[in-house]
Amino acid sequence: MKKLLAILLAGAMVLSLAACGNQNGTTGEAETKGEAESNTSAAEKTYKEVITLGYDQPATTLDCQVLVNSIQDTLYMLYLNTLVNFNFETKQIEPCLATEWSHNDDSTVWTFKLRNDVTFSNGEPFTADDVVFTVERMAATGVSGAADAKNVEKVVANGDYEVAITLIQANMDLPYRLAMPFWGMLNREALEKDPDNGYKVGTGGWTPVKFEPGTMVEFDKVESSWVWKDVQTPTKKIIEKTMTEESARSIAVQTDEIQFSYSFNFGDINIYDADPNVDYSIISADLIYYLGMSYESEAIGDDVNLRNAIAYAIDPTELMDVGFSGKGEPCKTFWGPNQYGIYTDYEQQLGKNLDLAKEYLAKSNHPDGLTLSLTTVSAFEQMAEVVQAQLAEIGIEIKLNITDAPGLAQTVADKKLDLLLYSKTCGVYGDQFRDILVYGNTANRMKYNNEKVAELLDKALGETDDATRLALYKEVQEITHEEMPCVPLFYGTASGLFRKGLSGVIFQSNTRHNFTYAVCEESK
Amino acid sequence: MHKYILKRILMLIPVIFGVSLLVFCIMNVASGDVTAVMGAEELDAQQLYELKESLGLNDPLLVRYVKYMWNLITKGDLGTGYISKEPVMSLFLNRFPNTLKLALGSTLVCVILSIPLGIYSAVHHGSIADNVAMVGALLGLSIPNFWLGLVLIVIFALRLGWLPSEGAVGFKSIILPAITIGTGFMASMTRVTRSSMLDVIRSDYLRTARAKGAPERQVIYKHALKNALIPIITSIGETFATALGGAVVTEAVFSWPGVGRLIIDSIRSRDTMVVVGCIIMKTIVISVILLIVDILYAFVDPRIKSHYARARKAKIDE
Repeated sequence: MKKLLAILLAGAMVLSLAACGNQNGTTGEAETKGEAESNTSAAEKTYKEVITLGYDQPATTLDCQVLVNSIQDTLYMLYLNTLVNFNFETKQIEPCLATEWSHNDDSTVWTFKLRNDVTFSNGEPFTADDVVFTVERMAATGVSGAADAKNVEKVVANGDYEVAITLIQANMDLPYRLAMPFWGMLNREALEKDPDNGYKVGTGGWTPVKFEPGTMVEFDKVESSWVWKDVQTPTKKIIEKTMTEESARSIAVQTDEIQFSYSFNFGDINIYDADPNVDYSIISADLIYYLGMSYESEAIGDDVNLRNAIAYAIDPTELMDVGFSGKGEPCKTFWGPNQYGIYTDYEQQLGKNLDLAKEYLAKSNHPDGLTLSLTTVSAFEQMAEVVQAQLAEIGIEIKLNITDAPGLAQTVADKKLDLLLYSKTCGVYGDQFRDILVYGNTANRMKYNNEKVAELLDKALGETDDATRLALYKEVQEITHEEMPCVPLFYGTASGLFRKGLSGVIFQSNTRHNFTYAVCEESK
Repeated sequence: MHKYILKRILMLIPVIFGVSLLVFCIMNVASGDVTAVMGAEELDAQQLYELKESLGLNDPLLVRYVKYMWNLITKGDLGTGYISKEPVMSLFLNRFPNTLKLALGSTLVCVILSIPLGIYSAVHHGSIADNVAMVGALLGLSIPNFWLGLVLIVIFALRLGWLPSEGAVGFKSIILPAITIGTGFMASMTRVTRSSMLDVIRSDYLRTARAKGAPERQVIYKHALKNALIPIITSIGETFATALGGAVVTEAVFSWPGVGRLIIDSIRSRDTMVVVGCIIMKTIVISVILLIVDILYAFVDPRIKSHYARARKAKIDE
């Protein structure tokens, strides 16, 4: 009886944590379907012990330092904890494994004080030495946070529960970076004992007990985890399954075989509106769709007039309609919607303006039009066809090159890129666009090379004064608005289909959806 | 017979070399590499080079191939997945039982539907029923698997709630994907059964059997079918081998964790090790199945058995 009461209380607590819409926490503007809590008393409710999540992409590893994408992030958050967390509601960095942190005057030395009551799933206590090990491992063999690790001069444990990270270049964004799931803290002992599997040992509330790469991951609850000290849930197991076919995945939510489907077809929304067993959530995401223009392209090069002609010939709304049933938000600057330092108050706003586009084209090196290639991935093919039609209106003929991510990388390597239709995840911290705006970085497929921009980004990264930092980011955006290495198109959405009764899920505007506290009522 | 089996097994060696070289070359021709899907967006050029170096991707194609084959021959090592870091053999063995189950299930569905339909068509040759049966079999081939799969899911999982819509747990989960794939194979096997039956149905020995008063059922199922079996067995073997080769679309629709999906996912992420390793394993499995089918002929057709017996006797006499 005591156990039942504890579970019911815990369920109530988790439900009270849930924010809006379908009783799942969402951030950003959200379009949700979800009814108010039923009148059923807590005592009459029964909860599922197993919650199954369906994702469109395969989970191929559980090593957080090797791979990063939306499914991987969701998994890492179940069994790993980071030093700090980013709260999407308050937009603030919050304590997690670190209780407090500080930096020196020039933000090159960061000190983190750690919790002293945390243990890993293998029973080992979490100490500063594990932080040192995690950073050193990332620097030696990691991929996902290698850029951060490269900037670390040294990491030193001051006793068991304090760690100091000394950076080569000052970085005010460090806590934001350390809140990324791939910076989950690993256990030195586990990895030294078993390098092939030790990375599965974390401090999170769940631990992977079965992993079939590309198919499924099964997590058991770690009852002893510090995560459950204040909150308990009746869920005993969380299973993630790879279900690539969108319609089948959504049907599985309707049949209660799975309780969550990541993304669904917006064209089927009336079906889910009519189904009393499912809720959905569509939220504005930290995801920008853009049309990049290569500086290595013989035709485009640094012809700023041609770049602007292309920019003002594009109607992003039409692309949103075709690609995402109109879900999204046109963007006014090449910067994330929630990113620190966003500036949109330009004299000449972006958007379709054919007269202006033709004016720019007339001033360009190709006043009579030209033929360009547009490279994109197959998922964006329809949007690419819209771009093709829109640019034809000003006399630019487009040849489509539809490929996949590796193919795109090869097109860039072969210097065959003219235009690129692609997307970029953009977080909240100021330095987010360094990878795409600084020459030599992998994501800078346009080979944009403006030393002034790189210099401004460097200055802003180490700047501790807010007003100065904002002014620096404003200048970066003004330059890119003028030089137009990329046409910012629109901000995308993230969507999820939930089984009725699923709650406690933090469904966030980035890819980090947290299912740690998920509970699901049994269907009646 | 033993010599024949040994010869066929030895023939596998050049086949494996050929297949692995071909796949290596194709994966090399396919643009890009695995680093593009590893979240290496933030890496600079030097870091990217080092990552490729650590994965051995900076080596020329021939060097990578020779290293791979050397490990395969000397250690029986099919390699390790670039991303998962799991041995390819273990990835393959995890998925293969599911592929085998689905292949068996779909072949069974195909056999159960096609052979009676083919016999019925042959017996009622030229009738409306014959034409309807042939059109029905063709329909199975013409309907796209993804559409049929989704329709079956909507009817049997969503509306009726009788069968699961996804996964590979328990007998029930195999029914819908097996029907989806099995009906796709129907057209070919039904036609083979029908034409093979037509070949024997007007033979003298059947006329004799009828003249002797044997019931029609016995004439068809005992005398005609038995003699028409060889092409049907070939067709079953080919169907089974094709099903084992992978039914990627159906596996995707039903979230069936088979080898086909593993290979496709690995091609998308340019995980050459997994692609080559799995295709080598599939080559071996399919070759063995085709060999078994050939051996089965001997049991079905006494002429083949006696051919080997005669050859053995001649050798002893010499």
